[in-house]
Amino acid sequence: MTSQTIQTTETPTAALPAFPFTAVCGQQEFREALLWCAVDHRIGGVLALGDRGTGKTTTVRGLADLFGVAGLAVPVVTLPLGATEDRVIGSLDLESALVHGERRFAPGLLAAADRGFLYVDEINLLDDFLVDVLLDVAASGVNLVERDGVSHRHPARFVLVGSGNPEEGELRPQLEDRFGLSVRVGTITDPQLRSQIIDRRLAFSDDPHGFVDRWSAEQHELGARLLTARERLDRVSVPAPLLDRVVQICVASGAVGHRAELVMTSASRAAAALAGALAVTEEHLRACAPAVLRHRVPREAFDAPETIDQRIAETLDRLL
Amino acid sequence: MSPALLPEHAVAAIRVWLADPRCGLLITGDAALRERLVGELAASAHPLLVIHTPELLDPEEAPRVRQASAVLAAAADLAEVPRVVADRCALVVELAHDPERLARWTQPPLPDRPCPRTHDEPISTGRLVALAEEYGVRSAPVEIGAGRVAATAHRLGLPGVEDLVRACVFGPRRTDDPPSATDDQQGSDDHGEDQTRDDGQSSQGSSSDDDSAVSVAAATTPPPRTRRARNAPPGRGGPVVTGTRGRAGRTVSTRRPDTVVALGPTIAHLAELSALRGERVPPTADDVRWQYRRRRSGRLTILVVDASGSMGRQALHRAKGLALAMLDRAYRQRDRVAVVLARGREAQLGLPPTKSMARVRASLRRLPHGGGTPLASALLLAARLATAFDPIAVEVVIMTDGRANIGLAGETGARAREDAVRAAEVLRRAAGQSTVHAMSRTRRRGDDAAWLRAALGAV
Repeated sequence: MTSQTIQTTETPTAALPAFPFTAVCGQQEFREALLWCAVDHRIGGVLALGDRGTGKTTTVRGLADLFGVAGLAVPVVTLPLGATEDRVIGSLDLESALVHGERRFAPGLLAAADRGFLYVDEINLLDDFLVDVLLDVAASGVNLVERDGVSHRHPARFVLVGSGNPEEGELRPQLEDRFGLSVRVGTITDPQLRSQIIDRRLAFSDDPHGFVDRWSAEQHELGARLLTARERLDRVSVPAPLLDRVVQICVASGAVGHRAELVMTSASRAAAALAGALAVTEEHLRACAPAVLRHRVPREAFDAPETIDQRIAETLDRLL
Repeated sequence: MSPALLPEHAVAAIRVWLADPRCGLLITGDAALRERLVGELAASAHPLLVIHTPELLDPEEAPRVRQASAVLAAAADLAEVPRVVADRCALVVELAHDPERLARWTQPPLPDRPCPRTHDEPISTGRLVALAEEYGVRSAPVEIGAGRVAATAHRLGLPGVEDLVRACVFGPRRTDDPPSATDDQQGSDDHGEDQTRDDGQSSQGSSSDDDSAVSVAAATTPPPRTRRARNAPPGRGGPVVTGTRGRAGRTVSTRRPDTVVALGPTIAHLAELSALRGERVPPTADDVRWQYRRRRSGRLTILVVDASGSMGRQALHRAKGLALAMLDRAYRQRDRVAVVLARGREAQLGLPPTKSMARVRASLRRLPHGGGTPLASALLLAARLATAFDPIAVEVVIMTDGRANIGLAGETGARAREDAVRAAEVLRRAAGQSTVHAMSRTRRRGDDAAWLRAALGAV
């Protein structure tokens, strides 16, 4: 079917540099959420739902590049939509089985994503079976493979970043809850920002290396900030009154389960570390609360995303 | 293909694409012209992704399309093209069926004649965004593509860069949705709706003459999202269930629930083993491979809403309320929902089967009504939708006053009901369960829809 639909004369070319993370316009909340997860992987991932063509993939690629700039060994692995089970969880190493007659394990994408980010574009279209595997592994941090006569266990602690367009299919609620943060990425409407996007994107594709050079100062600055934030994280304290606030917010907004409270605390801590503070303040809390609550508050079957956001904002205004 | 065969702006668009194929080109319209043009253009650029049938594109191919450095696609109509391809191809050239031009069909390929250099200022990106707003287009990939088109056209010295961007980038994508503020009025009268649609079409024809009117409208209300409802071709992208029926799915080496023996993989495995050992290996039970089967999951609820004039406001209101309650249930069970509207001369597909409740709700809210009751054609349409699913998995809910008055060929009177009864029998075979809600305008009448219920074997 592929051969009929698509015909390509494309030859693999040398890898182009990634679009700089700092040069991505808009999508402020998504970028921040990614950075918080980069500071503290325990936050549990980001779910970015919204329109197509809003730079989600570009942003995640930029993040991988940013880790390189910061000198961090954090892999960012993309899970292709058509990935097979073998490719994702790993399987018998066919070559060593056939040539040497040994049963060896060939690691898959989950192993590659250990201590890093696993990005799943169009997560709402992913095969149910793979989604279950991802959930299991993301929750336990261990990938246990029992198949083809191989028994293998390897750590797989990764930050799951998922994106998708809800119009094409909804995500199962269990999966949604596993994501620590959830952001909405909409098409940008501000004309100024839109022309900036065109300008930057064209400049980048005309001269990728030159463009990256021009942004290298910002990239290095952010990279350094990320590094210090990761070091500082353990020393950032969460004052007791603030913890009470966290609980109050979660209760008032009706978020189900303790995960909201845990995630909100660690996210605001990461936000504080990134801002260079040594204690979490209400400002940090306010910055990350919407992303924590958005997919956890109870919703009617027909609530629009905006009404949910508005409800959260009202709750925050009342309590902070 | 001779340039004489193409409108001027199309030639300009193709020149731009040839000079810088990164902006992507989508060719729509007449099939013969399209094939010919694609054939000629496919040979011109080197690293090129050619998509001949975008409507069949597998969602899994989307990343490849997005990342391809140059794309050429062809389809009958922009509305059929999945979003990812439409966004990737900034330039859209429509090849109208035009016998007069066709008569001038000649062999020589596109000449690369030099153009008089113009000294136009390049279009600023701010202007491009303003143009996009004017046409109700809001999509970063398209806007970026437009930027590239404008830059290339300027570099080539083509005259009328802005007209080119209007005609071949934003024009074909114009959204003719009426502003959202008029949603509520929309349902109230039949003519109003047709009027707005006509307006949209006539302005589409002459894209650059009526800007002032459009830009005023665009300035007061933000343009709604694009009207193109289908992001993916029907029958794709949905979830699949594993079971013992359907297409071949994963192969496993041990027997698990819901698996069947997979002959092919078993033989392949034995062949591998034999090759490894250099002799024929007698198969054992361990060598048998098992396979899951996959098929599309879920139930389909088809709402057939009689929105004819005879229903009256009150009944229609009740039908909407009932429909929303049903949707609530379908949402919780993660069913697909489709809406069929019985109104006017022929039933319309209000909404193709979808899981997106936002879309179902929007389609119900702006339910147009008025006109006759083409019940027969509505039931047939529902039956056609149902065929993609197992009959057991399909539930049809019909909300009508039972006064079918338009037959399949448009006749009125007794013939209309006969047609409806025959259509009901077709639907009865395609759908496992049907429910008829009688929506009578007046209470005193008995059950107007009893005949339909009987024909459908419905409850």
